[in-house]
Amino acid sequence: MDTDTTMEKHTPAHQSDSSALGQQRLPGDLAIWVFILAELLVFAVFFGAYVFARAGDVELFSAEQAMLNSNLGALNTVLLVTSSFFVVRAVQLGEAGEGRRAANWLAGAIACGAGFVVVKFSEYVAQFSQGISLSSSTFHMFYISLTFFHFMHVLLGLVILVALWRNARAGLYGPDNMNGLESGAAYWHMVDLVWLILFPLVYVLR
Amino acid sequence: MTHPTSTHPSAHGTPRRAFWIWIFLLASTVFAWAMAKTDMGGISIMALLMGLAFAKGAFVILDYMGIRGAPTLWKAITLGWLVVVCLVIVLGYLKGLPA
Repeated sequence: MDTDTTMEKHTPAHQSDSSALGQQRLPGDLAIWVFILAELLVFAVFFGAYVFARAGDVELFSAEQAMLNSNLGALNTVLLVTSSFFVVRAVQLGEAGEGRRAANWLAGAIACGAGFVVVKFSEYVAQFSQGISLSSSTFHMFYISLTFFHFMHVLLGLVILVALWRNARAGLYGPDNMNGLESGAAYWHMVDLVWLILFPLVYVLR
Repeated sequence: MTHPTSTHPSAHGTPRRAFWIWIFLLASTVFAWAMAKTDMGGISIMALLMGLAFAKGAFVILDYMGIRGAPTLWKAITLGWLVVVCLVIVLGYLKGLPA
């Protein structure tokens, strides 16, 4: 994953702003975007419910938020944004006709996603061993349900990334066959996007 | 190597742009982590955190998801989601401030 070297070498001739070409295009399959919008709406409701529940008992939320491990939350943010960068590089290589090299970047994204799962799982184990559960408090009800709902999306995203990696290794992606890669990539970026709101909201905002 | 020509225009920008966006995402994550460690709060910190969250989300939507090259309706829907979510969080935060 030689970032600097691939940056200049593999910018394809057609890789200009599509709007400059007068062609507007939704990357990937329309169905995945409908699915992504549905997921984003659910998370939006979750975020709204969290922040207005917090408004009703700021002291409780602040006290219990202070018990969260913000180091692990930040580490998971780093892992997810890095995996997103790796995925977009894989898509760019696919567009450049280097679908097999895209597999290397996808492998990096899978490693980061797996790292997220390990870190989040260890966080849950530490919290559950302290007797924390959904019924411990309003804060923990929201914290566990919101982060676990997101966690399930990470797991599904990893399954999708592994499928993309296998296809990329088989040389299935190229400039004229990007639909599957772009669709899976869009889903993974959605998982990252949700976490970029979730982390400051649940771990940092005081 | 000659790159194949295609009728499939890139919606994901250049590798260099993707790289610098990644650096921005990492730097703003470090900032948010520092805010968590220093236990700082208040309206100004909230505004800064949510402003950065909006900027990060917009970069992910427009560049990583490739919505920059999508029809205007899709830009409006996805960025509209981000605007609404950030506004709702700000409003909820303000509602929780002592009267």
